[in-house]
Amino acid sequence: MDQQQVEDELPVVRRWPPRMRLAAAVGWSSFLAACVGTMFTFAALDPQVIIDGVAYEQPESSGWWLSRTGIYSIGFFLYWAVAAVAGLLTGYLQECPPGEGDGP
Amino acid sequence: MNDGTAGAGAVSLYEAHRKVYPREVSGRFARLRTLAAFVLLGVFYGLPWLQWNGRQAVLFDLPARKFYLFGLTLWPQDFLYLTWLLILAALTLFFVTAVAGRVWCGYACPQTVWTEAFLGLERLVEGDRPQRLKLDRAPWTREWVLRKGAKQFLWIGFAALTGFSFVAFFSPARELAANLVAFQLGGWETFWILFYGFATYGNAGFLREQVCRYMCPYARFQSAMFDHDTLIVSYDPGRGEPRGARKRGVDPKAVGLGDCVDCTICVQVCPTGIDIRKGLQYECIACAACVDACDDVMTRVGYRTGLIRYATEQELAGRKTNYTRPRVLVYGTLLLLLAVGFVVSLSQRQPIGLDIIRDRNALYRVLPDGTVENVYSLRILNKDERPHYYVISAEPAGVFQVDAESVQVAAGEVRAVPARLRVAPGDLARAPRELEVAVRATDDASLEASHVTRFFTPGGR
Ligand code: SF4
Ligand code: SF4
Repeated sequence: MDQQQVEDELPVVRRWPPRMRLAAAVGWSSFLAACVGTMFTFAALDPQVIIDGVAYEQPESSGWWLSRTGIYSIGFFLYWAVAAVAGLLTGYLQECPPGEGDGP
Repeated sequence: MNDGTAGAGAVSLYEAHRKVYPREVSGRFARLRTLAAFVLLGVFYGLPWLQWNGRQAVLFDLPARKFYLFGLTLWPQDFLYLTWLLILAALTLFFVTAVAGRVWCGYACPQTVWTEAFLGLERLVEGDRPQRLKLDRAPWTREWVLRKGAKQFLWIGFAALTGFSFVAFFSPARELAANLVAFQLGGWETFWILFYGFATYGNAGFLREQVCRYMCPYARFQSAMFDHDTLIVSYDPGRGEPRGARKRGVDPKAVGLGDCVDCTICVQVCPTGIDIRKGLQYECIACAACVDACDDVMTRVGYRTGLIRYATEQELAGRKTNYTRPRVLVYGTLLLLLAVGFVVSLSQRQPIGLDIIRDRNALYRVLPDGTVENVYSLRILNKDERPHYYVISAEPAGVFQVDAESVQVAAGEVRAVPARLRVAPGDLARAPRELEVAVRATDDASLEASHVTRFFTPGGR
């Protein structure tokens, strides 16, 4: 049993660079936030209202998104995007602290 | 680490461990983990196919905005229950974590369960860890391509099945399957199957422990939820240190060593790649793989098991664990109250709902004989499991005459019913401005809902 083989047996811990860590953390936490946001929004709002509204204004239109599932999905991704932007900005601001001594 | 200085004894000991170590850990916790994984996966893949009273037993029918949970049908109006349930789940997690550490992570977290499933498939085609190591050292051989290809095939198939099963919780499973076979899946359904399948593949096949390490918030809460009396997977340094390799049969005390033979098996089995002997770390998902592994080593070298075990810090320090500490009592009481409240309010829930909308076009109508009529639109929700006939009445009954048929509403359906209320000219003086409209099931008088609305008369009252 040489040293090389012993080392092989130990798991290699893959460590991520900070930027990747931020992206992963933001991706996941904003996903959770989007789930909650979507749930509350569409518990109170029936997308059918939007569909009926569109059908009334433009009877001809038949958008690919014009279904309850479509509107739920779009709502979810909107929330996800908004939450992710907020998360990334927070991470960015944390990363670059303001300079010292140039305050008022 | 073995670094040559340990001598021949250590090498033979290590060799012995290679045999005990067919990569998968075996032992009581490993069995428990496998059992939990099978049960949970079984529930996930099986539940959409379970029928209940002629419909899918568990279906969060988002397109129809109705949730079916066995005998229970929940509507958007019942959203409170869902929130309540989520709070209950969170509190249960806190409670369990305070008492027994991260059992959720080790046995029940989807991340753990699907990672195990993917690892299982990997083992199936690529063999155990040494074989996998060997395979990966010589890429692009025929065997490499075949085995990797087979693994990807299984992984992708399994991920696709997972995506399908996920969507089948939200959109009726049987229809979904029929549409799939006929290549008629809707765009969004296809999208979500692929999305979820892809997420499963990425998380369980590729990211694995990195999810726990970098992404999971729960893992970071650990320090806030743990205290000295929390049961955690721990290494007993008092017993194990100083660690070191030794010849078989040597009394450790005689050579100044503790019970840890420093074989690093506990590190090798750890799915998150940490060394539990360094103490509690937030990466530890409490899977107890190292417990099984270490017990095995201890048995082999003839020592007592339990060098790594579920223990509290108090216990390791030789004190008694305090199970009735304020944190546990508070969580426990809250949990109990919320759970009881949930059950009570759910059992009190009336399986009927009523909405009343006044006719917007006319406040009232005066019939030739002077009778005043108001028109309403009633929406009756039958949240029950059976269809019912409903009759409509208005209070005070002597004054208002109801002109509406008794209506049938199917189980779990909503029906809009027009209703006319009339007041005879002689009763107009007695007609109150506000009245109560009620619907009642003909076969069960306790099924009743009422709503206050207004009645307009020419007097402008
Ligand atoms: S750390 Fe998070 S993702 Fe990992 S097993 Fe625990 S709860 Fe699941
Ligand atoms: S140290 Fe590793 S193997 Fe041991 S319980 Fe924690 S995660 Fe599992």
